[in-house]
Amino acid sequence: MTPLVYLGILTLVCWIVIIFLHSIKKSLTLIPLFTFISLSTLLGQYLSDLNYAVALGTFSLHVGTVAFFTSVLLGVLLLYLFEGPRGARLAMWVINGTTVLYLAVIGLMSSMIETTTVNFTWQSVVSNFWSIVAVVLDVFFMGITWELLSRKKGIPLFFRVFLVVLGTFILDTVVYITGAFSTIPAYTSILIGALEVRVILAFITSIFITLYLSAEGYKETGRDKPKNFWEILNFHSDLELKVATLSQVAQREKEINLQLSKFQQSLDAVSDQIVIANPKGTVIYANPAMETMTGYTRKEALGSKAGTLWGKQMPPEFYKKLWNTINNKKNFEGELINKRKTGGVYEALIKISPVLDDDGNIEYFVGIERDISRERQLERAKDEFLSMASHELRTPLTAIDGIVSMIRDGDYGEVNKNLVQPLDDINAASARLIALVNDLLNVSRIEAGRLKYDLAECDPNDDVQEVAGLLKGMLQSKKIDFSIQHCPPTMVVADKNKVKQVMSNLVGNAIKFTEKGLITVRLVQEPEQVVIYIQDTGVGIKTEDKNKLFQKFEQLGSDKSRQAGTGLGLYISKQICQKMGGDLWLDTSDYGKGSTFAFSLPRTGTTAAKAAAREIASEQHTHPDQKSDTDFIS
Amino acid sequence: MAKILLTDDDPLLIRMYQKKLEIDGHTVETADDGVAALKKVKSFTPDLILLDIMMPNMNGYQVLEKLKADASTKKIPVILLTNVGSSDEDVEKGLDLGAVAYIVKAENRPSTVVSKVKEILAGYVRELPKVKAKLKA
Repeated sequence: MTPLVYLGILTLVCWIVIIFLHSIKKSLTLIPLFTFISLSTLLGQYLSDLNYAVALGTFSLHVGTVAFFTSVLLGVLLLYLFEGPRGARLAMWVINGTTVLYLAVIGLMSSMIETTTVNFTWQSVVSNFWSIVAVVLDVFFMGITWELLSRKKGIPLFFRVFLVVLGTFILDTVVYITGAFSTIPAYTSILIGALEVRVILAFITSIFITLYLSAEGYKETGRDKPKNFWEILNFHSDLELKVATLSQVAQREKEINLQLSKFQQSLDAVSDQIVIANPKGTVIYANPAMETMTGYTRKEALGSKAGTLWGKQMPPEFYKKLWNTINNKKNFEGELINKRKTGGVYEALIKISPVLDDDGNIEYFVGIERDISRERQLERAKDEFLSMASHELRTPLTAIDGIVSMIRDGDYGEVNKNLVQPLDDINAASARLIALVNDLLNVSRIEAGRLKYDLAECDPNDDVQEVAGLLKGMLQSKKIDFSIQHCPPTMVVADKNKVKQVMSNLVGNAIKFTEKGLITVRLVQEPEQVVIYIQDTGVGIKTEDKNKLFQKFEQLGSDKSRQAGTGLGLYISKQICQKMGGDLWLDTSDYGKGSTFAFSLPRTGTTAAKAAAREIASEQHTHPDQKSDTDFIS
Repeated sequence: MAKILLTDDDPLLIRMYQKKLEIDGHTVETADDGVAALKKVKSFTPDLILLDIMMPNMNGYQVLEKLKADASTKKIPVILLTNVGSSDEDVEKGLDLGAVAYIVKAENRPSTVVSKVKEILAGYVRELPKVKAKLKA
């Protein structure tokens, strides 16, 4: 075999080992190194043979396992440096395995083909056996030497490498030369000559290796270090490690399976319907509650497109919006009507969440549905009951209020002047009761989300005018002045009637609590909203009473003013303003001097206006039988 | 002054409104449900009808529909006088069916009702009483 072929084989074997343990990328960077090493060892081989020739009288270039052996050993050293004992051990397995394989192949060949180029003799078997042993011993030696040198601080990398390499070479040479040439007289000169060669070889290869290590930014910390020297050769630990890893994996799998079964049990036990679908929408899991709710079996549901078996009761836009939302990786929440297998529909609250994997892609959808038919039915029944009750209450109240007013008007004959005040009082009380019935109905509607809002663009300036006109009588009878300060025409998004109601409530309150003076309504245009201030010169509000203002049934003021109100007006007005995207608050108040209340409405196109519209629309969707009852001034 | 048909299932309220209307000089006939009302219309031929909504047998809306379907009665102005409440839906329904006004009994004292009757008789004006103002008599 020519030296070049030899070089090729050598590089290939080293390469195989490296690829085995590192990435292909890394092995590519090692090619130049190994090429240099191989060339060096060839040089060494040449020098060695020269040395033999001098001693033996004849020159022949031996292919020799020596050069091969040396290169491979240096490769193992590199692995030891990078990977630690485990890497080196693994390389040992590969090298020795390759050697055995080589023997087997050659043996087979020689038994099949008569060839003179390869000498398969008992001798070669023995020498290869010794080379296997030598690999093991050398790895051990290299490891010990490196660890010893590394524990001493301050020795430069090159010297460490050189000493390890040199030490190994010397050891090998001594053992080999002694083994091969101890019987011949030229033994000593061969030995010395060989050692000389080795020193040169060690030096050259150490340079290459150090350059390579520096170029790779070699750091000690990368590899695992043996705790003691015996660990360098500890084959047992490799096996142990493998077993430990395998058992760890098995243990982990068991834990995961246990957790999964726990989860499954939990989902199965939940009373709400849970359906899990893949990104395409195909059902991959449905819990038992789904069967109870929809009447379909889990078997029927699995594999179907989610929602098709028991759905299709809503307009197509609803489902379009649903799929759009969840496909955009957002949660969907809503109410819908579904159909049971046995026939009949039911109302359900549905929440669907997309679950994402580590890359942010949808892995599956989780949908939870709750049957709220009964709840909704109860709500409707309650609302109906309250409406009926209100109607029933209004009738006798109308009679009381109306007849007393007629008595007072003199329709039943002249009224004794002693009766005037008591009759007025009855009138006031009955009027208040009527207002209370209205307010109660409205509070109930507001809290159940059943108060209907008719949102449109309007200009609050117009509404103030109207309200002023309607309350003119009250103002005149109390002799209070009234003025309006308009703002430039501005469009807001609101329910016009409710705006007027709120204004009437606040102006009415102002009139109620003011004996004399002035009530001013001032409109202010702001970037996002219009604020309407209602200022009076009335009794004002004490500091300690200020937080009671917007609570239900809290009424302030003297008995006279309390008689006219229900205690719900401000609460209702505030709820309404907030629902429309604005608010209602007490701006300022000085006890004895007067108060200023204010409420705001969002301007067209603002975030607040859009959010309010969305919420109102959603509420309307949930309660299609909302009522827009507009009497609740108190 | 005018002939007014007053329809309501509550005798208390009938008595009350009748008294007030008669004091104002009108001739008043009463009916306590929808069926009776339709019969009375034919015999009494009123100039204006005050119509309650919540009544047994036939509610005010149904009566209104029938009145407007009949050529001989459809020209008579009808005021819906009710305690059902003045939500937009209810008012709109009444006005769509042909009523000229919608008054909530509990919100308006008899004197107001009578004023409204006079107004309608004088001008037959259609009105949308959406905003309620508490006018103290």
